[in-house]
Amino acid sequence: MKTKIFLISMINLLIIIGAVGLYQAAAVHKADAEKIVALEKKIEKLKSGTGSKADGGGSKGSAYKDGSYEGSAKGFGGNIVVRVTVKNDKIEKIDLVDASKEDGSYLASAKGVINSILDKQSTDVDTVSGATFTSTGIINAVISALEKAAK
Amino acid sequence: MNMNKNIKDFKNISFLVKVIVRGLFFFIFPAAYSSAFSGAKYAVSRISSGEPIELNPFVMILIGLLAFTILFGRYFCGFACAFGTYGDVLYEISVRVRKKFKKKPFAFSIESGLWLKYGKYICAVALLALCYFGKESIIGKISPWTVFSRLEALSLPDKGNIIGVFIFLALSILMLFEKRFFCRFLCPMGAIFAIMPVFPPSQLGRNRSRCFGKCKQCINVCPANITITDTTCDENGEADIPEIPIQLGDSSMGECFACGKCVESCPANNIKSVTILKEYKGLMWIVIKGAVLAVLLYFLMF
Repeated sequence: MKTKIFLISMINLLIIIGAVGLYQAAAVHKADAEKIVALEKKIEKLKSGTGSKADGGGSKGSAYKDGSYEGSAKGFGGNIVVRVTVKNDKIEKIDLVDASKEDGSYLASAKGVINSILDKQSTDVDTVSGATFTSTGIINAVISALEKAAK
Repeated sequence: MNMNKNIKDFKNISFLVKVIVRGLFFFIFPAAYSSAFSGAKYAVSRISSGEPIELNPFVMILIGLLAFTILFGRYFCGFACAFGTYGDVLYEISVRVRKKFKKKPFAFSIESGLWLKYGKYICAVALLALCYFGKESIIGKISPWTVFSRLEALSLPDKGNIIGVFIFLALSILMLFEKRFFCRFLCPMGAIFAIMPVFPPSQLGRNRSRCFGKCKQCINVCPANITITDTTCDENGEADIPEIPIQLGDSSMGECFACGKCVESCPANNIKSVTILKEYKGLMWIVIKGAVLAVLLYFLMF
């Protein structure tokens, strides 16, 4: 009887897992295909010789002084402190100095915005859904550090 | 006399152990329950945008807790969930106050619970649907969990969260009067746990023909008013025991929090599972399961 109860709901669960698995496989395939298309476009652009200049000089005008700057902003439970390293007008590194008041799993998810900022070289990035308070805190702390770095 | 003293000693020790286990989870993993549901929300919003689901910490915690539930039943709900502990503390306080004033406890009838339990599935589907349609920000505004976790972090709730504050207050009042009101009738994470299969050695069951006449002790102490399944007979078997009236209450063991209160209070020693036992062995299992869960959560979170 116990085994029967277990098996019936196990079958349901396996169906759900199977559906999510199929979705996941399809989505990964789609994401890969998009990546390939994007890369092929880039190659064509490079071959035709245009665009290489435009890619190089992204940020103009707003210059930062080289160095490391600390900034802080309110997160979920308290202040989040980050150290931003700037070199040649580029955000090179973002370290979390203090985020002791943030909850573990939320902080781990929110750390994703650091990579987005580094990739985009901009603080205009999406917050991490589910960890809005903490990721907004990190973004604002980076903004406040960059303000100090501005010439 | 000596026997009574032993029972009293055990009751005190058992109470102390449970308070320590639940207290540790409350302070070390206060956000585990909402992290797990964030995992579900994240997965649904990824599906709606057609992007692959990444294994972020929220999703890892969700998978970890579901796997743990398949192994040991809803121990997480019974002992580790901070919101459940908050509700139980409120309920214990109100029971003691009412005893002092000799007021009869007000409670929802067992029948109404049979209907109200579907509320949590509606809640779960509604919240996940909001995520599917990209309206996740609404959840942030109305969520009583956000309010609760702000209070736990010893800071005041956000201004944009005022609806959440009212919902949180309403839930707190309801939890004063009905045991586990939120967990049984509204918790979206509980809805997901409730449909999980539970590994047979961790399922509770009994042989109804060995029950004492009209005894209703198990259903009285059960925080979810569950009629425990007779695991010794098939569906037709129940008709053979006419002297034992059919118990009113939930017959879905998916509602079981694995708290073990029925096992401890059964006068016929008739309710059993391998991992939910009475007396010191039962306490040992509570501590063992707690340790396994704590290690699991620790590695998933940090």
